[in-house]
Amino acid sequence: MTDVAPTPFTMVGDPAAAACEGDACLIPGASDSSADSHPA
Amino acid sequence: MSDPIKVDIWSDVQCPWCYIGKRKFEAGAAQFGGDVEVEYHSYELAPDTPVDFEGTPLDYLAQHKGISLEQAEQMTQTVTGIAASVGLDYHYEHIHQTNTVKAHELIHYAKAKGRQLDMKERLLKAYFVDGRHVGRIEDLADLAAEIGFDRADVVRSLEANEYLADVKADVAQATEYGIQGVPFFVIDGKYGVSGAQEADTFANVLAQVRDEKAAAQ
Repeated sequence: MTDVAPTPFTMVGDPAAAACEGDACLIPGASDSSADSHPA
Repeated sequence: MSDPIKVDIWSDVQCPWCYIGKRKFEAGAAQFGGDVEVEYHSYELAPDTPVDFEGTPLDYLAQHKGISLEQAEQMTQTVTGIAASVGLDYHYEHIHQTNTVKAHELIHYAKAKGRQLDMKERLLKAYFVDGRHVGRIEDLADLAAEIGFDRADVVRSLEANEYLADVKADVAQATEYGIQGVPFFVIDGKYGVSGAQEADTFANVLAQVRDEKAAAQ
């Protein structure tokens, strides 16, 4: 895993909102890395 | 009349939260009521997926992640329910798991012709609702033709990889921005919104940008 660049943006909203981070998210819930355990 | 607020959205065609997030963003933008200009950018969740993978995402995960079909089916139930809450009728049993790079090229093709939003919506619906294949050139050309594009010209463009560099540039930009998940919204080049947030979140940040622009004038 390469280092991730810091975001240049001011983040707003719920940081736990559901998002996909990789192919496991093709089925939400299949990976702990996806935030789908916190559905929007 | 003020200029529209620019919203850049990184998203993948096979991202379940991206379609749900799209609906929530659209609701937020409507709630905001002002002028908004949206531009979609490419993000590939599974770039190693073969175009001709025979099966659903359930099959893909069962083969690649060691998850049982029963577990995968349970996992789809939650997102299918949330999709329904925003008016989307997901059918995981009919989804064709595939590589989406050509779909992203088609979205760039449509952008060049001023129809990006229509093509993005058609592709998301094709994948999650209609059970259509969004990885093969011929299938993508059919979908493009359905919304009025010249089918032969779409085939020509996709076979020539006309917009592949634009897709890769979007992906590289996402990396540069530190984007780790999608959907990811950039509002007015200043505010970042990650994930399928509630409509109020989008409405509030759009209103904040409008107020900041007004105060700066």
